[in-house]
Amino acid sequence: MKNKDLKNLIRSKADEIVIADKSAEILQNVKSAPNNAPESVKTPRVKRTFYAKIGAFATALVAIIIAIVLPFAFNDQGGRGGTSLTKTQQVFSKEVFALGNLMEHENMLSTIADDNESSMGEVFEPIAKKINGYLLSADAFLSSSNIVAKYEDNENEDFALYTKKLIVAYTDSDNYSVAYELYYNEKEQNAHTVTVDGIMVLGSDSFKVWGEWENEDDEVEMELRVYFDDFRYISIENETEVNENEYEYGYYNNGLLFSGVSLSVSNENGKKQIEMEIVEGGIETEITFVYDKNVIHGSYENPLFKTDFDIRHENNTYEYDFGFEFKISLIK
Amino acid sequence: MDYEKYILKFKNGDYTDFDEFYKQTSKQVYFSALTILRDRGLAEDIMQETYVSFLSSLQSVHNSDNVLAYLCVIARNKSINKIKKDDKTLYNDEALTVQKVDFNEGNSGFEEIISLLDDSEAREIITYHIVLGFKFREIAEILGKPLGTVLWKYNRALAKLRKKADRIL
Repeated sequence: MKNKDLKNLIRSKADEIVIADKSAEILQNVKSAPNNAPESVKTPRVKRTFYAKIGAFATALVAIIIAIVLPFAFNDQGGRGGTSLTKTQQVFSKEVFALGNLMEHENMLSTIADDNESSMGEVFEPIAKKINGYLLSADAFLSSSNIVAKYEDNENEDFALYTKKLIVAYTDSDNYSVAYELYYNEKEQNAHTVTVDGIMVLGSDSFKVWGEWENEDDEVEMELRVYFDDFRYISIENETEVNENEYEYGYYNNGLLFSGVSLSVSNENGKKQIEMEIVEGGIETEITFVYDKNVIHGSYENPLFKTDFDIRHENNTYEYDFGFEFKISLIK
Repeated sequence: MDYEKYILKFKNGDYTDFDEFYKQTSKQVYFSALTILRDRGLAEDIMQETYVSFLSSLQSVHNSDNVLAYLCVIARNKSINKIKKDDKTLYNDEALTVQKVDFNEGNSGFEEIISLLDDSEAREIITYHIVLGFKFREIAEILGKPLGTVLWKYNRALAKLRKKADRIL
């Protein structure tokens, strides 16, 4: 049974249950009940949102990226032969971009563009680096019209095992561009499910990729994984039926999830916001970003620590300003 | 959904829109209880108690709070307390199988499927996400669990249900 069928079955069975209207009895009991406090519950609060930005790439890589990106028109409909992308292709290209960008940051030995030797670095540098790998992707999700995806047949003999090629690129408001290449094969498992396996190229490195998606009634449920090695991988999942602006990242080792990130973007009435939740080592961290003209106001909070910061972006860097005379610039 | 307008009215003792509020929230509250209790009659009782508790203590509710999640937490806590009080087996270490669960007459379908999961938290996560449409981070807040745990349990529960559901359908 497919996931989608299972979910539809559960929902339909739930919908069969009729919930009686007890509003009158409830109000009657309220008027006659003593004024008791409820059981001690933690009242869920409306989350504030904050934003942060990420640092830079090697100049050579940027040059290669721009060389790949320039031939493309700046729209999100850059499918084969100029045809529009299907919903599956849109989700796939976004997930490929997100994972490529994250892997690039995970793989880099240093992302610091402007080293600050302040002692505050011990506190704030890890925070900036932690979120740096997500910010450009989140920015891309918010500005998806600037994501360009090109699907074509693979003609690169170095990757002859794979029949297809995807190049996905993004240019942000600073005209900073990144692009990633994926060589892959598709295999139809049934009428609605497709698996992919391939290789993602990041500079001189390449990483194994696996993915699976289900597409039914134009709703897409997709998981994509990029492997560090045989045991460790990062996955990203998105269900357009649930919320196409929400992405779930998972860090797995030996099949066990040891860290998760939930990324949610929204752009309503011109107000751009990003919410991140990171769960790692049993600690849950909330990070939110609010775009405010040329500055992104960020907030970072977990049970151990809380701080606000501003991010300014220019060219290929994000500059984090945590106050206390501490700033750090990271490569996007 | 913004429930602030309802909260403001209820705080002033104006319950004229309560039936509307009830219609918009009762599914979440009811299923929060039903998933734990797996008994429709008990779930209905807990649902009523939840609203009574909520309305009786409105002064401690901030207008900007996530009211829906708050109601679910109350329903959940009351359901767990009910089970502990009645000494049912759902929250001890004894594993449950479909055969061991007694379904009240007329209860079938949803309860039967959800009972295929031994882990009570997995049942809740499936219900909250698939039936009630809560985001994973909202579910993590309701259950008081890390987001990663919620994600992991959800995926495992789906895989398990897929296998087991095929056998009974």
